[in-house]
Amino acid sequence: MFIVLFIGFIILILLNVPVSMAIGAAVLMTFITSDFSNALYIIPQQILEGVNKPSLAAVPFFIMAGNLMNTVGMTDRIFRFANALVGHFRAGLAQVNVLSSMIFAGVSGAAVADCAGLGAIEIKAMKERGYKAEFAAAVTVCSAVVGPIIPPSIGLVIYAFLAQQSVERMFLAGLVPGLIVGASLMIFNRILAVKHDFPTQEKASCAEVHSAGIDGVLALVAPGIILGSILGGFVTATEAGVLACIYSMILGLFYKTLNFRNFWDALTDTMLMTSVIMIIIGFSIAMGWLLAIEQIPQKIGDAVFAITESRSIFLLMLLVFIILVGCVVEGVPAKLMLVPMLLPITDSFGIDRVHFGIIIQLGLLIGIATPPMGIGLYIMVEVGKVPFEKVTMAVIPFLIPLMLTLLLITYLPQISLWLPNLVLGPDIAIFGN
Amino acid sequence: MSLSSESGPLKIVVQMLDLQLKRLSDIFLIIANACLGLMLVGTAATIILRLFDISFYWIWPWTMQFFVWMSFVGFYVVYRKGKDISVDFLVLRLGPTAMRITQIAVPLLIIILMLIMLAQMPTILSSQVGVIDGVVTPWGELERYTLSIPLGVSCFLILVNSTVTILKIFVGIDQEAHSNSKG
Repeated sequence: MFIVLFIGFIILILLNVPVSMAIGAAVLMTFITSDFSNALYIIPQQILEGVNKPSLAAVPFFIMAGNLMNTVGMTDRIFRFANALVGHFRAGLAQVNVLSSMIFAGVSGAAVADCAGLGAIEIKAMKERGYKAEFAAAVTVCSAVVGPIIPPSIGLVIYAFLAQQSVERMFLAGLVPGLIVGASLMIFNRILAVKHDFPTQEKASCAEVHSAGIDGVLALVAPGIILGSILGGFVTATEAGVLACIYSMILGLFYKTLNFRNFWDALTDTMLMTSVIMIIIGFSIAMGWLLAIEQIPQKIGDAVFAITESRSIFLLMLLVFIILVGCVVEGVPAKLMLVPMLLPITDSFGIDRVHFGIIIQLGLLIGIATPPMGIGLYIMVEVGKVPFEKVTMAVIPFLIPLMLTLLLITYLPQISLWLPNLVLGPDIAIFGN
Repeated sequence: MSLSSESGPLKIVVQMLDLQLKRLSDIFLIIANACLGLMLVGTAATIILRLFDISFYWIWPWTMQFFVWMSFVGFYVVYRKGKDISVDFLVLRLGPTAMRITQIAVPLLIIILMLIMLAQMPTILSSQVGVIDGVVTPWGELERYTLSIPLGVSCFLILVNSTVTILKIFVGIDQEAHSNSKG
């Protein structure tokens, strides 16, 4: 059954079938070949169940926040501030690129918004300063990986729903790993800069940093407002998403950059992206139902235990598996397929669900920068006007810091668990054995 | 594969159908965006009213109702506008024949999927009895089946759209839909 589902899905994807339809068709094929071929009504029934989940109502608002930030020009201000702060470093604009993504990540929950919005500004600036277009595109797509780890994050909202964890705990767990991913990319930029003698720029004066800070202060405080309001218990995750949207809109009115036309465009982009995600979630819930009924996760778990009982070896196998899946399946559907199957196994190995959430989030996110399904690469082809093959080749070296960080986060759970345990107290929920 | 020379009237019918489907997509876009806008307004109102210790129990149920409607109404718009994620690198490398085959095979697969979904709709609708708590209207609370009606309508329109996509290939109308590589 698992083979029909997974291989069927990948074949359909490679044959140019849209993802939501491919997952729907794969689920249908799995139902037909199972004992439930006479109960196909379960598919639309489970789609409805999957979409009608209050914890997922935050998804459109964190997508919209990113779209609105791009629309109202908050991204330009973040970029200018980051440029004044770290632009004079070796590989200055590459560092600006990473820092901007980290700040942007504090409001937006999607890597796509980072790649498409901030990426356009960053690549243009880097090309003008003499960087190769493919290098600029590679830094942009890899720094976008930070976005869905640093809270708020759509991926973490979806994981929290699947793993029955609190969104707040998942958001807190993502903060330190997100900062480490950003730092690792900045260190790697520095190493490359020394090796390739990248362009440098003059250090901004204190007055210039001050001016850029004042200019962008309203954009820069946004992440603090959003995260603070959730953690302070003032708002729910969904309300925090709305708060981010309203804040972006108010700034747009203040900067006189928001009008009905671009608001409508932001609304449309958000609605389209949310609909795709929700339909994929709907079909995946139907799939999860079937997997649970047929006890597939338990069977996979038994097979894994037959290979190894070592937690360290299992984690390594898990990482390789997640990264390989991330290369061929986009993050959201991959998570929806894998989490219900893997959770019972990770529970058996005593891996904390919050920790596993961060591992799978980062592991699958690396997939945005790897072919053939690297959505970030495709956006870079559009935004940066760089051939697909060139961006792909330029990205390869950047996978080193990303992989090393993933290993670090996987084998040192405290990196993910320290902050949520400190703020919210230890999670006492016990799953599995 | 074009039948355009001997199917003039068919070509006109297909073009008219395609135009109507585009118009419907524009209407659905407005409805889905309105649902999203109302979700935003409702949740924003909840945050603001909380400051004054005021709350309305029906805002959250209506927000969820709009969320479900937006997702299902948007499903057709996503398909019509080709905004779903799809990967064409392999098909492009396999050449024009493979491209031609997938141009027909993909909508055909979608037609089958949508037919099966639609065939299940009567069972789904009949099982959704009772009202949704809090989704109040001047005529009482909305019935549960109202949640899934937009899914059925979108599935039907996607079915028609996929059929028209295939017909467009046979009558020689250039393909616009699904030419996107990554959405």
